[in-house]
Amino acid sequence: MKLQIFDMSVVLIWSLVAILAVIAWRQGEGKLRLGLTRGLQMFGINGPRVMVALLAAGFLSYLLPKALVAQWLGAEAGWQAILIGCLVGPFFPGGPLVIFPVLVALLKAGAGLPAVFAFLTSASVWGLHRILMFEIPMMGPRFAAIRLISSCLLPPLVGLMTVIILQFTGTFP
Amino acid sequence: MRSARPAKSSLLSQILGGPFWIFLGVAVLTGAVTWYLKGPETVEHAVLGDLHLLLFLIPRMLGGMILAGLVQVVLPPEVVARWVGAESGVRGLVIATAVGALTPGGPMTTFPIVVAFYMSGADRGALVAYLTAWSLLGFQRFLVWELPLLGPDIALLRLLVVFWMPVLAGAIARRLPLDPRPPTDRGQGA
Repeated sequence: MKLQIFDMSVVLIWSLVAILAVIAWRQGEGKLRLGLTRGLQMFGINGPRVMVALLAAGFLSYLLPKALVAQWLGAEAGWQAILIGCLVGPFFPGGPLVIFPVLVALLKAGAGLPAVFAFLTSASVWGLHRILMFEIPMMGPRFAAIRLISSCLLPPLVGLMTVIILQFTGTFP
Repeated sequence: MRSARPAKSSLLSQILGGPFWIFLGVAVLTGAVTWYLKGPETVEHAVLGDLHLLLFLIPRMLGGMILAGLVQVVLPPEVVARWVGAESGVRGLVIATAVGALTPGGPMTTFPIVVAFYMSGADRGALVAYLTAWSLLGFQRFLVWELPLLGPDIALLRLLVVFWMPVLAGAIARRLPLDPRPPTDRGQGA
């Protein structure tokens, strides 16, 4: 996977920064200076944490047999597949660039929609990379725990609801 | 400002505080295991990949953090509290969900914004709803990835299944008897 270092998203972020900077400047009272200082401080504090977390997440991704897992999910059916989808999702690094090719491959390999949706949900809300690299370093372990507990039912619920809707409409066998 | 610390409890000690060492420890440990199981070439490959990822992250993260700093000073805390504070009810969760679904971009800009709203008085339910919506319902992802790759039938079916879930997660988060510590050491030093 080759990442484009400068693209539209960088332009978008810095344009927003520019707009907010103008607003802060027009509000006066040294707000622009205060906002910039806070931002730089936040970067100073979180940058090194994210950097070492990134190292850890990078090593972890080499230790997980992802291709094997995808094959496994494609081969299973029914409730087992949904359960496996929920359990393996967190180990896939979350960006769409990684997830969607896997999704298409899973559908082609014959995985059912309930399992694929459960997998996508689990990769989205429980993605370990994101939790390890950003959430815990920046929001702390307690917030991460609260969010994880609050969303722990979502992936299986997505699988279950998909099964119900599909049986009800009969669109996908 | 929830920080009760003396202002000069020094930025350096915050930068190199507990979390930094914990993450460094995990990195060294996983690195050693990778070295042992997969050999030194894999470790080298992983580190080079991380450096590239870092180059990718820095312009986005720096932008995201400055954006977050400016959001904090520009948005009055009363407004944040009224719209997405602890007393904002289901309406606050729905607002957070909508904003989350409309937020483009990766975690390197989203998390600084979450920190900014947290410090400005958004409650944990709203933040959980926001993050869940951002990761599950992302409008940009829907248009760019889901529709073209999965087709409208599958993409819309998934939307139907998940659109209400961020509000559910947020409502659960509000009821959990866990208190997220105010992030006194997350950029609120001055």
